[in-house]
Amino acid sequence: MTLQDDFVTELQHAADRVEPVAALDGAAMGRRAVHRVRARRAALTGVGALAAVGAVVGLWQGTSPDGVVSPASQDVPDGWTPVAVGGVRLAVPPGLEPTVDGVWEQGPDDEGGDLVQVQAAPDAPLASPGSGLTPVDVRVPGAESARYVTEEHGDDPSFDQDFVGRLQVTLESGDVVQVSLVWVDGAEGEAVFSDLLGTVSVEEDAGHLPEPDGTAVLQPLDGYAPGIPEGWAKGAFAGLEYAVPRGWADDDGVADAFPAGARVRSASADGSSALTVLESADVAGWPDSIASSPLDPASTFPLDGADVVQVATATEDGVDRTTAHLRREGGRGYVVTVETPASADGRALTRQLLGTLGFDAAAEQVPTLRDLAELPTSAVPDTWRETSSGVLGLRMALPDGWARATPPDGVDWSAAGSGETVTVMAAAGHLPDRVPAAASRYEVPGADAAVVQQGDDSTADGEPCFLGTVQLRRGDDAVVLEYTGPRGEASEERFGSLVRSLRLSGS
Amino acid sequence: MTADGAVPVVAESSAEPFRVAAAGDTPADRFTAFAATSTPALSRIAYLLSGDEHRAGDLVQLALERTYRAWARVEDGDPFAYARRVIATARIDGWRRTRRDVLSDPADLRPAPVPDGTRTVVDRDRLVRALRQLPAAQRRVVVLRYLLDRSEAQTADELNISVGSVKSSGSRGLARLRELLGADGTTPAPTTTRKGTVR
Repeated sequence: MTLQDDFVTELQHAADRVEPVAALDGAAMGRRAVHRVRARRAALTGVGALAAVGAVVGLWQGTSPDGVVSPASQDVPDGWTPVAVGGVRLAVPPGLEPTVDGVWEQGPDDEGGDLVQVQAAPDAPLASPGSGLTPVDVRVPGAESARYVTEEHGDDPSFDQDFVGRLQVTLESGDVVQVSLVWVDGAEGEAVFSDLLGTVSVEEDAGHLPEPDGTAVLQPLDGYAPGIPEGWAKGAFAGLEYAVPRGWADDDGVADAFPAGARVRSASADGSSALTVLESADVAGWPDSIASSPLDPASTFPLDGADVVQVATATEDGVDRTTAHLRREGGRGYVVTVETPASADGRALTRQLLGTLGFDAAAEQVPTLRDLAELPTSAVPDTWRETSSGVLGLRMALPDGWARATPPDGVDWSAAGSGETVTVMAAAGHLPDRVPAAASRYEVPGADAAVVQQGDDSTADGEPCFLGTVQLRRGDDAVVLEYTGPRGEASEERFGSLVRSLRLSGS
Repeated sequence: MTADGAVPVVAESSAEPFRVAAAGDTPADRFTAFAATSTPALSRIAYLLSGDEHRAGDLVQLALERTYRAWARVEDGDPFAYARRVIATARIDGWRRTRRDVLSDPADLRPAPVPDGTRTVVDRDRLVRALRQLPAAQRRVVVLRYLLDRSEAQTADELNISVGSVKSSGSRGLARLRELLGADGTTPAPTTTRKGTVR
């Protein structure tokens, strides 16, 4: 039995002791499910549904000469609840209850249940370019104009897709209100949305307008202390400037970031406080929708040139662990982690450390694969022998005397020499377009692209090691090779030889 | 049952299709019997995935409703597997949560303090807390593949992902769990996000 097996067995034993949630009455929940589904079907397939079908035809296909269609009526379907919010009046379907401001949802389920939401229209267009959606003009009583789009939405194509309808109503004041419907049963959603459209009218005095999702205001970080205190040592990493108190030193003994070389960590002499800077291609690539959505809860502080500054703190075991996601506008992204004692002094130190952060010119440029420097490699010794991993046709040369090893669970292939290992595994996804500046590239025969990263790291057991990784892509496939060996130039040289020997065969 | 009376989670994970034990006169009767029988097992899975009893209850209710909607076509097959799949993929399916999931930094969720030297194995509460720190994709794979002992192919099928994704997500998830729980299950390890590594 391997260590991996032991660990999994231990996990399974722990999982075996997870008991059913005692408060749940399965029979009652089953009856509730039947009741809810029947109620929905009754609302949608009865007399009201016949009217709804008519509304669909009249509303969506009965285009008037000016291209604007009119709702069939302003009648509220039986069982629906009239509401007024944010300048509009409408009705919500049966079974939906108000939860948060401007939202009516199906019971307590917030994981994808039916939903009606009224909010200020986000800045994003009703139909984003390339979405294939075409907004349809519709007449809403009292409105300057109104348009809607409908689509199916769901990440798992094997499930029925959610129906999503969005209506944007422009008021005389110029405010734009968005009414959204999410209906889990996509087949029913169209009829429900048509009914919903038929109930919408403008009533400018109808309550305040809830803010759109993702635009919640980040609170200023209390106690933020900009500037570099006297005597602190300045540093910079991949375009992010920082400073740490005198006496702090680089700390590479914590295997807390990957890949090796893409982060720097500095810690106090007693180890009670530390600052880690990680360049993050993920943060650099955040779309606006994510970048503008704050962590919850989170705060922010002013940082010249940044378009993302989100800070959150978790406290445990007497340690405050503060994570700051930062991005230079149009440039690189970073994750800065500060660990300090959970005390007033510790919190003040955290804010002082964050106050030293700034960007230099390097932060403005996000490297692509083409921008990376080519990895300098070493000649492949004559004594090395070629071998195949069998993963995506990845072949390599290894020193004589190396042997195949039992790969850890989930790893497809591994080999080991004295104090050195190589593992290979097929990787999900693909290599990102944006890569850490600390990475290198290498032209591996047969691969579309290869990103190499190397540096000192630590094993899962905390032992210092040299870690080199190669991520290779061919088409939609990807494979990751990792080499570990003792820290030092010898391992770096052997890794260089290993990289030079790589090739992907077949197609 | 195990020695301490708990019902093993793996019990319902066999490849045999779930069969409704008590058949009633109507589809609703048969579905209600199915709900009564399967809710305990479903709730354990939901709890392992969510780490929260209230959310687990919501997930089970969601799964039951979707299963009843599909009852006509799943009753003669494997309704339990259908319901389990609803639960396992609920966070994906719940598109309104996607952005928040993306933003959730696993490092922001750390296990609660545990006394030193009082245990020699991973206890269930620490396991659940550690699971919550995994990205959703890794958590689903770890729960299905390892805790429910599904095969790689079964896990891939249930989550509608490739076997390669099961391997990579499972490997990374286990590595992360090992870090969080400590190699011997007693020592929490540093929790900064680690990307794409296999130890």
